[in-house]
Amino acid sequence: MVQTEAVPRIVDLAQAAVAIPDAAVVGVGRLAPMSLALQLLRRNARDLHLVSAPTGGMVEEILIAGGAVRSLETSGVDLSEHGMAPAFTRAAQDGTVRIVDSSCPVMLMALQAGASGVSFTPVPGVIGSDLLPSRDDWKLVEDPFGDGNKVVLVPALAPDYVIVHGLRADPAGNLVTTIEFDDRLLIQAGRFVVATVEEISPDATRALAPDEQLIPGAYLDLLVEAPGGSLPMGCYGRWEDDSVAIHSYLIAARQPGTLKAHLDRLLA
Amino acid sequence: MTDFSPEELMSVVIARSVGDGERVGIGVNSPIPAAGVLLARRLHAPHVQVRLRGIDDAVPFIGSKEFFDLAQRGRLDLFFLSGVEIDPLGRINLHRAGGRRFPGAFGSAVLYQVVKKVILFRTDHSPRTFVPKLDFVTADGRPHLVVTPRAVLAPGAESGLLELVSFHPGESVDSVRAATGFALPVRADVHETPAPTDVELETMRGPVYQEMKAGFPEFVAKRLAKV
Repeated sequence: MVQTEAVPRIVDLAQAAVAIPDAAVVGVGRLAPMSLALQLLRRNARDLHLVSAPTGGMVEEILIAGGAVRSLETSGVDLSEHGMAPAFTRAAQDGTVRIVDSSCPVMLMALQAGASGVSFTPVPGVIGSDLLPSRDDWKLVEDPFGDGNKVVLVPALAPDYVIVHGLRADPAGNLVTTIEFDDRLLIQAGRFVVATVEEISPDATRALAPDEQLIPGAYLDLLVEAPGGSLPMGCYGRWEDDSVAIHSYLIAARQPGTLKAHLDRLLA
Repeated sequence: MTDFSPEELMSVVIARSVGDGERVGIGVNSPIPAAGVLLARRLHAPHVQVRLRGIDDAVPFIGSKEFFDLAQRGRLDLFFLSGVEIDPLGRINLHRAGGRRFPGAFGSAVLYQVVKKVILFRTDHSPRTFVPKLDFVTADGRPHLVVTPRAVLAPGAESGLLELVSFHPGESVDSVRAATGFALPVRADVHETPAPTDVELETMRGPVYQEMKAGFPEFVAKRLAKV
């Protein structure tokens, strides 16, 4: 009899980080999977191509700061109320990380195409934006069903790997997260999904708050219990951003030397 | 009359342009419009439907995609965008200028063309912001209004080019034109922007900032520190 493994497998952070190889295409959830990002830095991950869902924050920032990123497709990266993302900004200016610019609705429709198993999607708007000439992989065509109007086509986004943080999950991987973000769509579009959660418990899905949603465990490949897994960023409904920790990062990030010391402390 | 900051006046100008019953979206980095919309909701527009993170009765969209889909169907009445650079047509640059990189487009490249009314807001009104030519066109669209700490601009009905609608207290036609990096036409009925009323200021500084505390803690702390 063939012994099949349970899916998702419940593993620890180190095992999860090893499962994501160098040079992988990695979609990043918006509820920040920080503990997994830091673990990727601990295992010295390199040459990742990140895909934001659809905007980037501290995960993209810290992975760029740690030298793990070759390129990044995003609609924008900042630290919301805390301001610009310094390592992202510097890397984009210096050209050390290739930024593939997009816009939120475009990336979300591309992820929907990936989630639905089609290879491209038309998107609204964008015409007149310099994004269009900056993207070799987007096409401006005549709408085959329209009355001579032009429409932009973009390729589907189906990242080889997806990393997300969720509020909780049951052992079958049924995952509870906030309705605030688009992590559900990212998970559906991903080919290999790694989720960290605050807690794994049998009754995790028994009662959902109005601002929570349930994602089927069938989408998950690896599940990790990682309490505090989004820190210093907020964990929707649990805690707000740790402004003190974020500001100490921002101060350290002003200079490469102090940034390295700060990262070493975070990774210790 | 109570003293007010230019940014408070920006929120008040925005509040006055919100119609009752409108569907309104507010981005996560838009505290000035957020204060304006929440102020409008407490004064003349109690039935606005707001998408804004952190307020108790925000429309419960599933993810931002559901919100963008509503906008893409043409059903969003009002949204707010900003620009590192803004050109005479009201097009915006959110990517790079003067060798510096900025965060990126976010939703703008699509929203600017699908939302019924887009109000541009920018806390810097200088020739560095209002430029004849953008370094990068992030989003091409036409604004309903442009609100700055100095003035209110809007596109001319025929030319499509931004014109001076009103200058804020302490400013003049000349001072606004001097702060604008392209020739700025002036409307025949140009006037001083009416200052915030005591009711507008008290409502904003009280219940509105209270309502915004969860979503914009740092903004609220800074604004209240100046009062």
